[in-house]
Amino acid sequence: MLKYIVIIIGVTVWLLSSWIGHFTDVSLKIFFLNIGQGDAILVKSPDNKYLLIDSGPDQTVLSELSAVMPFWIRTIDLVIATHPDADHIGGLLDISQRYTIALVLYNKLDESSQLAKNLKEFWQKQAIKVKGINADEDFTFGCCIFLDFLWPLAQADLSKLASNNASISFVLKYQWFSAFFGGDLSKKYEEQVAKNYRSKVNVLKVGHHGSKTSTSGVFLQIFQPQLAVISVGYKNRYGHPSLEVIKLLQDYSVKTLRTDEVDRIILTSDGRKFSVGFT
Amino acid sequence: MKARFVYFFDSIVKYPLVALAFLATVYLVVLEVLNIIAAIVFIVFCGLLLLLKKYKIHVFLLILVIFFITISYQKKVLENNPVLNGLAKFTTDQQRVIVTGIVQNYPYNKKNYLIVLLQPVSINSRNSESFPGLIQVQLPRFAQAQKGDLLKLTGTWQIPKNSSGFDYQAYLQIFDIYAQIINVSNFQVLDNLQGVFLQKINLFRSRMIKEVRIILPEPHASLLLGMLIGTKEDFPGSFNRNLQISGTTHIIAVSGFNVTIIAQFLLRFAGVLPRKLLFVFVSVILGIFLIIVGVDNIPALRATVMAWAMILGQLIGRKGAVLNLLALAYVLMLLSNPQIYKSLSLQLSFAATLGLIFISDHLLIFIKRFLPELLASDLSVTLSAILATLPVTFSKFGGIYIWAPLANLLVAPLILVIMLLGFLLVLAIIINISLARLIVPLCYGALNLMVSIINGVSNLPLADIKISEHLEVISLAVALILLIIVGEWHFRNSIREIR
Repeated sequence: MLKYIVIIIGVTVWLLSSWIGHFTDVSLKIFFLNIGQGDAILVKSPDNKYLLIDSGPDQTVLSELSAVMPFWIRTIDLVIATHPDADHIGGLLDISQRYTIALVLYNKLDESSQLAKNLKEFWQKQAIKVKGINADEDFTFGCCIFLDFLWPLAQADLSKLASNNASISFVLKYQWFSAFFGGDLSKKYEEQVAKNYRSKVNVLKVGHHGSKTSTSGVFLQIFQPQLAVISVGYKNRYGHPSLEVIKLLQDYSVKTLRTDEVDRIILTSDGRKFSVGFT
Repeated sequence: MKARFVYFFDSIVKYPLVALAFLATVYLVVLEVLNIIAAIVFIVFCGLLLLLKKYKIHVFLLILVIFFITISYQKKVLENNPVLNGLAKFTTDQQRVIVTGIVQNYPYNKKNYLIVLLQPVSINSRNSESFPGLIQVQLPRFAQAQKGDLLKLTGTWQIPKNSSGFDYQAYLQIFDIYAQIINVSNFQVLDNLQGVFLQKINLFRSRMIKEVRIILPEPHASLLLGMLIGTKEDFPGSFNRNLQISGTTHIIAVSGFNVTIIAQFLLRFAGVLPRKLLFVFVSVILGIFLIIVGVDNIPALRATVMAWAMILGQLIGRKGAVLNLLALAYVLMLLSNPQIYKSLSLQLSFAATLGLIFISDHLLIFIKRFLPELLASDLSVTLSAILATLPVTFSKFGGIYIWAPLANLLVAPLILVIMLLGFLLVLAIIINISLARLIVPLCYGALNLMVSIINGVSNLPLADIKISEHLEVISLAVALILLIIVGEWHFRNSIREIR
């Protein structure tokens, strides 16, 4: 009997401490998940709402989400599928089957791929709200996160753009803190976005996993990020990130972190300053 | 020392003949000794016992006949081995084929595929009745296929390829798989041929898996489902690797190991309930388990039969009866499919059952010195099963990682707790999903502890170092050490009883 009492007390204490810890944490947290070659970024708002930007290539994202979300939270309030490449939406069906998703923002999720077709069918069957988005629309997430959408432009003809160049791009703002997420947008379009935005950001999610097709000097000159994060797989077959991009980031004195080197990256901000932690 | 030898031989002749035959067979099976040698050892062994005139001749003859039928049947199966004959009758390696067949398994995800096992009805429009077994098909990951579906598909025919040091062909043949189909370009479900009852079970199983995955995160959900019903899905992330490195894959490899532990736990109520009532109660529980896992899930069926035999034997109250029933179950299974002796699940559940019979009582006495009785009895049940399966896990899981014994020791107390909480969770899911959510924290807590131990141990320094040479010798050594320890325990206890 004593054994069971000890177990119940232990579980209760653990649960209470988890709950208290969760509800008293009022900071913004951005988790760059280590899902291999691809992007999956989870954002926790100060009022404990969850936003997922892309889902990586496969179901690896599930264990990453479990590691950073409390076990009792089975809802993701907003999913942004930046573009329909497998390394960005490959894990989305697994997530949709296991989590309640309140809203999906997507772009150019055509049905040419079987995965996109399965996703659309599943979302329709589960009555998950799905919405296309462009630069004319902005979005407030949770209590106080502002999503400033910069790309694609409302007048852009997405059918003429390559999948990477149709990536949903936006700046996430929380008070004085800001971070740019641009999917796999190439240099030309990144520069256009930066020129339209014309302001600094604190953190940059490096485009296209550090490929030389993204991230130019002009772009870095405008955004002037303090920290750059490259979401990339260990010994990936594409040779990402390219030395060219790494050198460019060094030239602009941008501190760079890579998920293949440091595993999961956790960024915490109180709206003014930010700090970086790891797994 | 002389007293020990006398005791050893004395205890050998005291055990029933069928049980000894069974033990000898299992021993050789575990060590993968050739069957012909097993037969010789068996005959010599039984002949010696006959010389000792302890047993009636007709029992010996009956077992001898069963054994020889088994051996000759196996020889026939090997001669007709379609892989060895190149499967030329049907098609050749790497050819595109059109196959129609019935899905025999619960399809599961592996990497980017949905794996189904197909009993072919036709291959390239020709009747395939003479095809000896199943075809493993890799469908696209999110394909919709269910057990009992009649599928028509086009794909590339492939003979399983052996890699260095691993006989993949032989491995697949354990599961009755003789060919693979990859690169499936199109497939369609023509019909579902299952009866209404099996369809309902199928639906219930799918619902259970879906709900568990919704209310528990990963890898906890997959770990629980693997332990409860032996689902074969890949774990997301690095957990698969961590299970291997920590030497704990056997926890989820088959359900047989866990059924045995659960059955032993249920026996604890022997003092509380009348024996007949307890037997009915345990049978019902095992029946429910079988329905959930799938009545046509052969490893689970075997494990349940063995657990049932063990419980019946223990309720009768004589160790000899337990061994006799187990031996009978084993011989019957071997008779139904001689290839079964290679089955990992059978070896694990047999070894676990033997552990419970021969080790757990002695282990309990030992552990009680350090732990409270209740905790000690849980731990003795699980540890005895783990100890007895060590020779199998060492030789069959491709090597030994150095921290594996530590991980097994640490997770042992959690297995029974998780199994029981898991059953409660499933029961709650059936009744009401809100009720299930109340059990989730307890279930998650226990699972999380196990996941943390497995992840923690696999990240220890030197965890990657693997002993992969001379595994048979190590397995044999471990088996002998276990035998000596158990023998010594029995000897000491018998001395104590005499005094």
